[in-house]
Amino acid sequence: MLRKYSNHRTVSDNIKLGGLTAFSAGMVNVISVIVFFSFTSNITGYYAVFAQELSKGNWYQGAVVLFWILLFFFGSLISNLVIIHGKKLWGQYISHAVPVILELLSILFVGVYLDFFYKDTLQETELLVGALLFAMGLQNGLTASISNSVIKTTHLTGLTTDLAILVSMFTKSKNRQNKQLVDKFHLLLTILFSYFLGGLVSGLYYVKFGNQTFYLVCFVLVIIAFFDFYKLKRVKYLYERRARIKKASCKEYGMS
Amino acid sequence: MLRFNRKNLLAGTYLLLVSLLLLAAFMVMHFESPERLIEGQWVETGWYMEKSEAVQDQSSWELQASLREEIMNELELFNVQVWEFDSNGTIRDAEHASDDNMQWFIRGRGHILQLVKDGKQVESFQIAKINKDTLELHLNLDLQIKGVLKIILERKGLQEDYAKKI
Repeated sequence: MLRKYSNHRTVSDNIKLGGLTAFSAGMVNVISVIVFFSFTSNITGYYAVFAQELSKGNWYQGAVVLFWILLFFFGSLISNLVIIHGKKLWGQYISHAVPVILELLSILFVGVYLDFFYKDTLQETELLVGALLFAMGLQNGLTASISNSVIKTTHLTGLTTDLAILVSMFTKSKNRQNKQLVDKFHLLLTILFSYFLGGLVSGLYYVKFGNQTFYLVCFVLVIIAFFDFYKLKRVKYLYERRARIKKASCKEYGMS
Repeated sequence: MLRFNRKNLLAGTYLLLVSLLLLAAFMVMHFESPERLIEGQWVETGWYMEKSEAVQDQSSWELQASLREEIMNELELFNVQVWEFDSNGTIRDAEHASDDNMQWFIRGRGHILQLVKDGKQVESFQIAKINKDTLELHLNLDLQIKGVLKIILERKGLQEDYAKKI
């Protein structure tokens, strides 16, 4: 899911990554609206709000929105920096997993802060919303970067447009037979439903467990980050076992 | 034509972005936030109804007494003339003693006023305007008329100051 890059990725890799990251983005967005009255998985609206606040002369609110937009920007920037510079240092898989770990730490920070330190002040709220936007920037930067911009999971505007275009294209029979288009359609549908499902799960979970929902998001991110680690370990184990068996059988039959 | 070295241009862009982030963070930390501005006593100066289904001119927005009464019944906690936002996070009627232990919170980017009683939200208003003299709150209503209720408040003492000046 994380260890492959760009065109080397299979449809299955993209569906797994898209589905899980969209699920976590949906969760984060819904819980931030519930707790902080602010969206955190997309920033399109914030550009409009920024202009609106400036036109009203609300400098403080304008600064808050600018701060959030920039944190999302820096999240995406750091994510891609780690991916393109980290490959030589730590290898491809680790450099792809680091943004997920940073995202996890940001969300964990919000959860822990809410549980133990939160005094319900506006300033704290703005910083915590900023931390969530930074996390979403990291995630969006990662998925867009490693999938060659095929997967974007934190907002659905472009996805809905792409989906509408595909649905219209499927009115032609030859397009319905086109595997590439059908695969893309499946990917987009998976992201759409995962995002929605994440939001739904988050909302329901919050009713019962409150701020602990942030820890559930962290758990989903742990799965994303370590899914390939498990696969790599398993492949290594199978390879070593096969080598051992081969060696043993060679010894048994006296072959060198 | 003015030409920039690409490396310098890039460095300038990074510098600009980091400066913007630091400036925005500084403003968020040190500027007068709605949370600090709202503290104190506010006198109601007008309740207005903005109907969503019809465009009306400003003069006819003034709320009818009967409608106001109905809204007041729904929102009995706001049946006050002077709202006092304490710095300890409680809100009360400044002119009458009350046992209501209602708390106020500013949410979002400082554009939501949330009123909470016994851990449950009583109401949330949109802060349409706030400065040291004026507070304008919007409330989405679903009573006999769907629409937005506008409550305009002025800082207590502002009118007396104005009268004194005159």
